[in-house]
Amino acid sequence: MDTYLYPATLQEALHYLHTLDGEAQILAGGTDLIPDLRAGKAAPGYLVDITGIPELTGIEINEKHITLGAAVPFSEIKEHPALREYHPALVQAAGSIGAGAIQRAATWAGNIVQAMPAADGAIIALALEAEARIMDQHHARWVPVGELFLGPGKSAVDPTRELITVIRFPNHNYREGWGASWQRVGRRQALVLPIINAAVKLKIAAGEIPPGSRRL
Amino acid sequence: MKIQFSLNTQPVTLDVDPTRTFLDVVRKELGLTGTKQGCDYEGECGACTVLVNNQPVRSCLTPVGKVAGKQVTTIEGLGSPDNLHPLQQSFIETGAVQCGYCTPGMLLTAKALLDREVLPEREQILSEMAGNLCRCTGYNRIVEAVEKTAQILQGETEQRDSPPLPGPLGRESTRRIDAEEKVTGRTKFVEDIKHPGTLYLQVLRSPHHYARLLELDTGPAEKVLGVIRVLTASDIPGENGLGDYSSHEPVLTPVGETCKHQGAPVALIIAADQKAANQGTEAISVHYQVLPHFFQVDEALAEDAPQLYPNGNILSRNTINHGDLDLAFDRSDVIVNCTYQTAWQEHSALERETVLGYYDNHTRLCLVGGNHEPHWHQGYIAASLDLDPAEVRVITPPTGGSFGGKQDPWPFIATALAVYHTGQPVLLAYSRKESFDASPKRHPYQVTHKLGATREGKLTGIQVRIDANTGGYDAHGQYLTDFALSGAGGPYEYQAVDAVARSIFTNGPKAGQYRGFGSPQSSFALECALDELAQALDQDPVKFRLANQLPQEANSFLGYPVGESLGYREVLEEIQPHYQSLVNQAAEFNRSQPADSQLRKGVGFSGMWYRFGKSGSLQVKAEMEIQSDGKLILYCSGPDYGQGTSTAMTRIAAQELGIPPGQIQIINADTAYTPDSGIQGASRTTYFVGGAVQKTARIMKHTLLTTAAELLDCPPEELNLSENRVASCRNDQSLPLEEIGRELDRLNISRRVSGELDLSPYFPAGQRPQYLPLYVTGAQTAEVLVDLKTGTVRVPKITAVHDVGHAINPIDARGQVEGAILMGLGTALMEEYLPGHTAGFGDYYLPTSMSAPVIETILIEVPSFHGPFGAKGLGEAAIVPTAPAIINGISRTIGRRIRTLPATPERVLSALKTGQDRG
Repeated sequence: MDTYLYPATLQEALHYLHTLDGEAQILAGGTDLIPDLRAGKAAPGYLVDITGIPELTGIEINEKHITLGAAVPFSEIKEHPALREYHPALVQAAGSIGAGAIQRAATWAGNIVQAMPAADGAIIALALEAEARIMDQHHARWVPVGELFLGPGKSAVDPTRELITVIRFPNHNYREGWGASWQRVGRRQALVLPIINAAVKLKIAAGEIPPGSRRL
Repeated sequence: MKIQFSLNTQPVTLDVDPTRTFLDVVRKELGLTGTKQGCDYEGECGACTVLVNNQPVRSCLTPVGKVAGKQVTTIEGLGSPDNLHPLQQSFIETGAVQCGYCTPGMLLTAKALLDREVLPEREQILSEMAGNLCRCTGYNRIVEAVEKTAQILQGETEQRDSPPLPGPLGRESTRRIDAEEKVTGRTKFVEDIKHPGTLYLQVLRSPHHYARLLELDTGPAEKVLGVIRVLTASDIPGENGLGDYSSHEPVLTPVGETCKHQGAPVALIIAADQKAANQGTEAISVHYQVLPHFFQVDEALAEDAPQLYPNGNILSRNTINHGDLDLAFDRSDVIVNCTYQTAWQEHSALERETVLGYYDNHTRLCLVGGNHEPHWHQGYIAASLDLDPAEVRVITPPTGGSFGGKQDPWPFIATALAVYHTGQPVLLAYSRKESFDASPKRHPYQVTHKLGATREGKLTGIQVRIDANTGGYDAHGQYLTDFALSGAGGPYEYQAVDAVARSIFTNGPKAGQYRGFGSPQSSFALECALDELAQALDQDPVKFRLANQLPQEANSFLGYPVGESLGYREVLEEIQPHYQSLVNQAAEFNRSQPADSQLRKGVGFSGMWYRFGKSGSLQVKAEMEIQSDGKLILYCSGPDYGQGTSTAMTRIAAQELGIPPGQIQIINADTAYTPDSGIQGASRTTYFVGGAVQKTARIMKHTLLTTAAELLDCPPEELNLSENRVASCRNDQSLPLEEIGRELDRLNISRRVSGELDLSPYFPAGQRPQYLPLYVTGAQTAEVLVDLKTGTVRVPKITAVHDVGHAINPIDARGQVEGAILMGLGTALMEEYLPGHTAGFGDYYLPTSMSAPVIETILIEVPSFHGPFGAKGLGEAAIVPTAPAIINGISRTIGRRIRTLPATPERVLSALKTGQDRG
């Protein structure tokens, strides 16, 4: 069996994780995992590259939710016309990550599983009340992204046994009085870890912020 | 595992480990070396950018498994010298190529942008290029090249096949002689040279800031499969030192001695491959006694401080004293007293320190690597190996930037030692982290100025105290104090001077040469202090300097007159209206903002002088040869690490001979062929080596014309050189150069001539100071935009006026200014090396394209007395005024003084809130 696997379907990917029983690891953009492999911080026997799975590469918008496949790179979020129109805070956060060439590989799901404290993707996910769908061969569950952080570099998702398939967040937008904002300060304007990053989502109705409609 | 993909439109099938990075595979398995590695495979620099399905990706973060079934384009697939892509052509024509190390990645990123966007806006280009670091150009020319290409592709502009280039001074510029190679990825930097059987050299370095080496057992390492040899101090046959480069520094620390900074080298591991070298390094058994360390000069001077050397922690001290200081201050209406602090900086050339060594078939030990002084390195290596210098050859290859960082001979000596002991080719390539740990840094300074002036705005007295942090070892730190003092007073007149500079040992990183060696830090403090004084007097900062500028013939604050034309009045008069116009625009901007706006604009100004030329020989030689086939070859030693000296030297020779530069081939900085010109630092090359080249070309011209005159039977005055012939201006008689070459052979006259620039008659021994008083001047004004809520600062525009005497190649002179400005912007706003913390580009922030201001460069030409065609040194000078101009701008904008570099958002906020910038 090859050590680098290209599942064409989600089922195939889950099957690999199941049968390889902790020996395999999910690979999406690889912008964090590949340096970890070089540094010996990770040494999976098999890599399961999920970027060729059509079910994981789409962006779906309906009245209730925005749903993004786990293999969608940040660059696609950044360039998506509807997201630019209705969810500019997410678009700005996506555009803050590394630089263009990084955004073309790195994914939101990967950013969340990596669980770095400064991660721009994680902070915006919290404000947008995002949830992740986590699957293995036999189970599937929705978990609020906030619950996935167990500490710096520690995630509740074990990428050797399960994967985030999609991330969704409520389609709250300005048509209903909702707004979200993304702010970030760094020592330079690009390719920099933030000194501080912050995201907020809130709703204004009749000139007030109704109870329960604000997330920082 | 078998992986198939398309590479530059050709199908490729490889059997490789799919988790290997594409960068490694394309360089090592496929032999395409145009794709570069600059940041230890961390995705931080962009030099490894390739296109996958036409999208730029970091090949260092891309496992080769990911490109299966895809189309990959590397720089080798973009265009060839015979068939350049319009982007490559534009990069050459606009001067977007300097060292060339970032160029392949830049070009591919730009190509993908132009495939997507037909006519991208400047902001879009800046944003797209933000992931590709460049340390040489300042990004402005790169943006211009992309804009120009977009227009060409749209048919709005026609691409010329050859210059005349427009540009600075309206004078024609010469294309870089190496630009075509660089834009096509064909340039062979050291790491790209393949030598069969090359061994890898790895260095065991002390992990402690200060520690005694107690025990060193290399036995376990030598048992590791693939490890060939492990060398320690006892394997050095000659001197265990770096000669006069660094008086106290061993090549390898002997057992029993102390390692005085983190990264101090202890042992050399030579192995067949990188993996074995790593394993061998880890296998060495080493024990240290960790000693208490200190990083700051105040700690070094404390009474109970550990003494790093028998003579104490003060390496050197230098003073200037004249006039009655008390009287001068008594006569002052305003006195400012202020202390400025600068930071450690790392050169961060995109090419890491890399040296290849081997024995050639003359059994001569050859070392190939970027350097500033091939002949001095030759001497240091010979002394360490106890060889005759003639048994050592140092070759300067194309070099991916230096900025002073590659002046350290250590990598050469270490590599030479490994070749000497193994007899095999050896490559030493620093990792980026190692380059941060072990290469010399810019010295941090603590500078206190007390400056007085009269109400009318005349400077009275200057008292200055400078403490420079030279780190654990000398690395020329002993000479630093003289340079520190030269910057501390500047091109101004004072009634009395009391100046002291000290160079002080700490356990910080060894500090050494860095663009402007020792003077930018003290100039920064001076120009900020002058700004404080001008503000206190409520005077225009440009006019204040004009009123106090040093007259050409007067004694400088150093106690003696300058030896070159100063041009400072011309500089200040030129920049005055630019400064005023920016001030008006800023006021207009601030008026147009709502009262609660968090954005505020301001303008800062700085002047400067910079002493170029260093202490090298006053006699510098070059040689030129006409080959029997008529080709002209120029031999000189002015290493080109990206700044374009090879082009400049060729152009000087061509200009003197009256032929196109393309007619001349240059061999530069190779101890086997080129004369010793000493060290090329302190912006010395154009003036000194260029002067020698001009003299040499003049002699060559004379030789060619007198020989032709005999053959044509006419007086030499009636003859001229044109292209590859000598022609009579009277009639249509002419001779090809090859005939002259053959005639010289027939006459048994040497086809090689030598010329010398000799400045000793102008600066007689006994009367001249240790360093020739050759000064160049300039001034810059910076527009700054401060966010009062976050403390972030942007610099939208910098206007720079520099007196270059004569711009040999205007486009490259402008390139030096713009690159220096961006480096100075890094100094002002973001660059700070912290020992024990900073590890690489992930936490040492270089300015990206998003930080790049619009730069307006105005070159003025007040001819020098002794330089070729009136040229002066420039490359370092332009960095001097940038940081003070920006800091003065911030301070004036926020109404509080920033006195600590860099002005990070935290420091700016702290200054805003508390008046103190120590955030």
